[in-house]
Amino acid sequence: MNTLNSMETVIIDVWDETPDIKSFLVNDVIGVLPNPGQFYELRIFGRGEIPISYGNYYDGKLLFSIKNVGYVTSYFHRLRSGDKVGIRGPYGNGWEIHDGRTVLIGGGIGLPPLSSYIERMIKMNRKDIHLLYGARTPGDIVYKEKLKKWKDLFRVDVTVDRGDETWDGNVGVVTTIFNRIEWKDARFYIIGPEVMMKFAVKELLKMGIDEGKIYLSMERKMKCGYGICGHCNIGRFYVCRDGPVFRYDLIKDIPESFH
Amino acid sequence: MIYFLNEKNLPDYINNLLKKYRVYGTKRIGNDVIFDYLDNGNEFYDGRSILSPKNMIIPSWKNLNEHDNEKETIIFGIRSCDLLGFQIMESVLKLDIEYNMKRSLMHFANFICSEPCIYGFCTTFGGPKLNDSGAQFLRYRDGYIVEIRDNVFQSNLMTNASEEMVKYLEGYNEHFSELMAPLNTEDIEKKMSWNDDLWNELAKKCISCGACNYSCPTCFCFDINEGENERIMEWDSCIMEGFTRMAGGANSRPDLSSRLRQRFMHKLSYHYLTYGIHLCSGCGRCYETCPVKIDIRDVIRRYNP
Amino acid sequence: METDFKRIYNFIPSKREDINYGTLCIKGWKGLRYVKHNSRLKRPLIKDEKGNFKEADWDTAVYTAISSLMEILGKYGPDSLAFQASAKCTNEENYLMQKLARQVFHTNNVDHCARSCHASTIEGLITSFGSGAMTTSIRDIDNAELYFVIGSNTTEQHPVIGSRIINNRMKGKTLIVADPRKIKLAEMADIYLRHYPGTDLALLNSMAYVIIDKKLYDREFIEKRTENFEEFSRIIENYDPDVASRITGVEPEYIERAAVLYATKKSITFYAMGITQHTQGTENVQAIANLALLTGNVGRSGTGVAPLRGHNNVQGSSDMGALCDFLPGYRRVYDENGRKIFEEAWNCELPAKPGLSLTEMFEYALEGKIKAMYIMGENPVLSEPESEKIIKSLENLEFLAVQDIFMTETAEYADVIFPSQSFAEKLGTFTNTERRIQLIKPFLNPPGEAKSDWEIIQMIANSAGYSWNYNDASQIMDEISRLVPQYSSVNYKCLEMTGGLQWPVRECHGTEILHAERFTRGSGRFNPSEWKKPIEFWDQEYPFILTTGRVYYQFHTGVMTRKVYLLEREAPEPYVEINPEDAKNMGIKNNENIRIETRHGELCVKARITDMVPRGILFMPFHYIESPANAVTNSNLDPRAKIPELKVTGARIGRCQ
Repeated sequence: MNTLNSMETVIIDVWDETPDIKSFLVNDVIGVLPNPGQFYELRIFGRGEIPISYGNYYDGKLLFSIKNVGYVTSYFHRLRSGDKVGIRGPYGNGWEIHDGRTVLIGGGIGLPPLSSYIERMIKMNRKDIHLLYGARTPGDIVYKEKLKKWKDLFRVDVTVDRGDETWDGNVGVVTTIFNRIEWKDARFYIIGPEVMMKFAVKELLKMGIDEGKIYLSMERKMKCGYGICGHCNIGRFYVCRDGPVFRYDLIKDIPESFH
Repeated sequence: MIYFLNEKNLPDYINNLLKKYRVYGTKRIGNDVIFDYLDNGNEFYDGRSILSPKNMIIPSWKNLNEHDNEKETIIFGIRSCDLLGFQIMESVLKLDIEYNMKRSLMHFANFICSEPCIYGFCTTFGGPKLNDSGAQFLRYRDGYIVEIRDNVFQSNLMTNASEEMVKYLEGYNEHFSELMAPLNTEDIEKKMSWNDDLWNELAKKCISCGACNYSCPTCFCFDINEGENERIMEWDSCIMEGFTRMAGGANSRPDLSSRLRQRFMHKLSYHYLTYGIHLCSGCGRCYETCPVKIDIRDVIRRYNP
Repeated sequence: METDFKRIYNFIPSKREDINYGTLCIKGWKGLRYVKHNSRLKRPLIKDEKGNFKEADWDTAVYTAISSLMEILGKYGPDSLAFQASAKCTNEENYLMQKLARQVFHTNNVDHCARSCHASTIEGLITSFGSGAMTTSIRDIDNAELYFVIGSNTTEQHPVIGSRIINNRMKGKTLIVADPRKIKLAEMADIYLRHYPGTDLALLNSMAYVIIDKKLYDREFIEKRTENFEEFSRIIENYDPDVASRITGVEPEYIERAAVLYATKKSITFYAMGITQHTQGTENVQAIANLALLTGNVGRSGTGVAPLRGHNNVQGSSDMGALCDFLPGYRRVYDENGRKIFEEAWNCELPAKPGLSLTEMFEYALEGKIKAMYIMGENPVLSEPESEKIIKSLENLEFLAVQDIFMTETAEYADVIFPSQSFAEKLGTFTNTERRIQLIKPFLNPPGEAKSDWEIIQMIANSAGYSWNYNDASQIMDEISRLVPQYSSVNYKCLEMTGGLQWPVRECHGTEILHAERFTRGSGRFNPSEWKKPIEFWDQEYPFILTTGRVYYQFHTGVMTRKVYLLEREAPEPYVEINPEDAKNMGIKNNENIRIETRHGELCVKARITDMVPRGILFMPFHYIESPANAVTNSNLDPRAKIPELKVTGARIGRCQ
């Protein structure tokens, strides 16, 4: 799909995840099985396009969760089921299917791209994953149903920055539950806001984790999605084409990789 | 094959091309040389255009909702530096379906400069005679030596070139390098530094006009924006603050010095590390159109004096 | 410009050495795309009883307009009508606009936005030198040794000139910058004077004091070419640097060093709105002229006074007499001889009383004394102070006609809207900041039925019973060249041949440097004045000074530039700049919404914390309808030039809900 022309698809269902995140289920009209962690360019005709990682691929339907942060996303939040959107993709490399133990670390809206990996793992009957997830408040936790379901299948730890009366879990940023990581030889897949990734990496390195085992999913302004428009260039990489998932040691020296 | 075309046959030669193709060529308006569609061969002017004709593959502004009928087009009179720019950009753009379609309908006839220009340094990147071009024209006495690789440029108005002409053409780059000394770009991709104070120095002067991007024959970055009934693809500029600013305000290059660093390091380092060629054809237009005269040659010389 | 009359392919900087030497700013590269925007007005619009706009044909629209105008003229007399010309339109169109007001409707109530930017320049420089324009040329900037930039953010607002200054500074020439905001040029200046807003006159007077005190003035020049030096030196005596320092907040030593450098080198002074938009705007301009006269820094190559004009044709539309107090060629309306020339040419009687200035027009409309308005290519709802008042006065009108290329915030209140052509679609001339008259030629087909502004005006005049008979813009220029001495002998043929001429033009030759042999008014006159505290200044109730300005990526009220995606991306929203310490004291976070309250209004806007502004000062760009800065600025006028004091408004900060 290396073209700027998007295909038209229909929103099957929309629901609220949190006060500022909505999930959209759309028909996959492209027919390419995406890798976990890949992204699509979703478009509202006449408004613009946004790069969004898919959260789940099931039965020819794609799940996207979109946080209201700007101009185009605010228009997404006004859409209802039956509305038409444009779609092209999938783009990027996505998470590599790892044969061994994998620790997944996510923050906020970073859970959906991990969810696509988890769902793939579940399909493969794999249990050797450990999810650590942090959100700002209990109300900001996305995929609450899925998290419950996953808890029965593998280890899941959830934390919030600020608790409330309904919350009986851990309170503190995601790095405060890193002591629950038991697999020091695992691969680490991290996605979330850049500050969170920065501190997570710092903490993991302190724990003696090898740089080559840490993988990050970067976020940049990805306009074309396949490496020609130039917006997501950092160092010698184009995030949309060579990423969004990068091994930490390859990008750690680029001053713009974290800002 | 190498031929000779007498100068007085050039208009007719172009007229013959016009019978079958669209010809996008250099024209003179006042003192300015620009690219435009030619109506007849006499309109052609052998000169270096102010901007490269890169808008033929990356439109400076185009509504993607409106579809053109692409036609077979000849880009005539393009200077070697600009053609080199097309070839360099191809390394990136070949990923795009539309680009490949457009590119397959294009033929290039480049004119080799007979004198070095004051801004350029094309000898650094293998110019001005190129190894790969549809047709190359080199000024010689009362006409042009023409090296043809693409059959659309064949014509019975040309005669076979003499041995002397062939020799002149083959030795031309060497001869030209004496007039325009190539800069040393050896290992520059490794020598360039992210933390160089140079970037701050340049940022003091730069007024963020974007001219270096827009005039560059190798800058391919573009932006897409949408409004009612329109979806606009247009040239973008990495010197602008909004180039990397994401929804919500996060920006990986918030200050001008980091954006200037991006421009020069992308040109001279990043692209080379991935593709093995520099993202620069040595045309010197970024210096020529820069209001505050930031010179890419000075950046190269800083690392390789 | 590469086009085929249907669309634009590309914008290309011309390599002309004398103006832009092959460079453009971002608005040149990107900003002109608006001409192809699909929201361009294509057919005339008439408002129906319910307040909705309906498309109409030209005859109906013109008939509607003229019958309303005539009715109001008959009922309330000529001075109940007001006309606004535009600095974005051509010389020819502005000339016809003021002719329409004066000949057809017998009123001097015609004005344009030069009133709110450079009216004080016209008044100030005419009384000092005799010509209200840049005395030198852009090319000549390179010949100077010192650049004194005051009240102008040159690199952002006039980037091509700004970059010339940067290039010369890099070559080792001297740069002095005086501005409350630490602008880009200030960072590379040899001397940076950070004076308080509204204290320019004290600063300039004090520089003159130092020059006289140190006997650095050009005695020969003063004796031979100037007058009124004695009175000047008497008044200047009150401004020794210690006194001035208390007023301006600038160290005395800096004032001295700047003055000495200015006097001893070939110097050009650049200024813009920071000087003119004050109640003492005229005096500020005169003070700049005084410095030039004192040191002989005028009339020679590499010297001069350079007011930087904001719009493509502010100079030209002022030359054309689209001003309430001047006839074309800067003849004052009360000057009988000047009037006679036009009375004979136009075969009518002209009113001798100066008309209403731009700001006054709206005040009178609010009071119900102005009943009808005719606005060409302007958007006063955003560009004029106290926008709420402007809106009320527009609503108060019995009839409003607007001709524009887009549906503007102002056009919303119109009864009839005429779609006009942009620069890309018509023939005409513009006069740029260095007095250069340049020919523009159409290269696009106009959208829909849009007509050029002069055609529309001619239709109005003719339906009022006149028989104007211009077939094209060049015939209007022929009339102008007969009547306006600066433009004498200007015709399209010689403009095309030369690529533009600086007025005054004699037999197809322009004048690069004004006042070389003698001043236009004879001798140069020192016009000294005392500094007065701005009407609104820091006080207990309003502890901040709000000053307004522009950003690099937007132009004026954004009607054109906000339709260009890339420019809008760069500067998408309004903000107010506040010093980090002030922000800390008030507990304001970056990007937090804060409320700006003044005596004239209040609004909410995002705070941008930056040391660009000193403590106690707020800066806000005025391009944005979301938070129009001019909703809160004051409209105190310079009594002579009638320019509002947009640069100094007392303000305080509150919280937003």
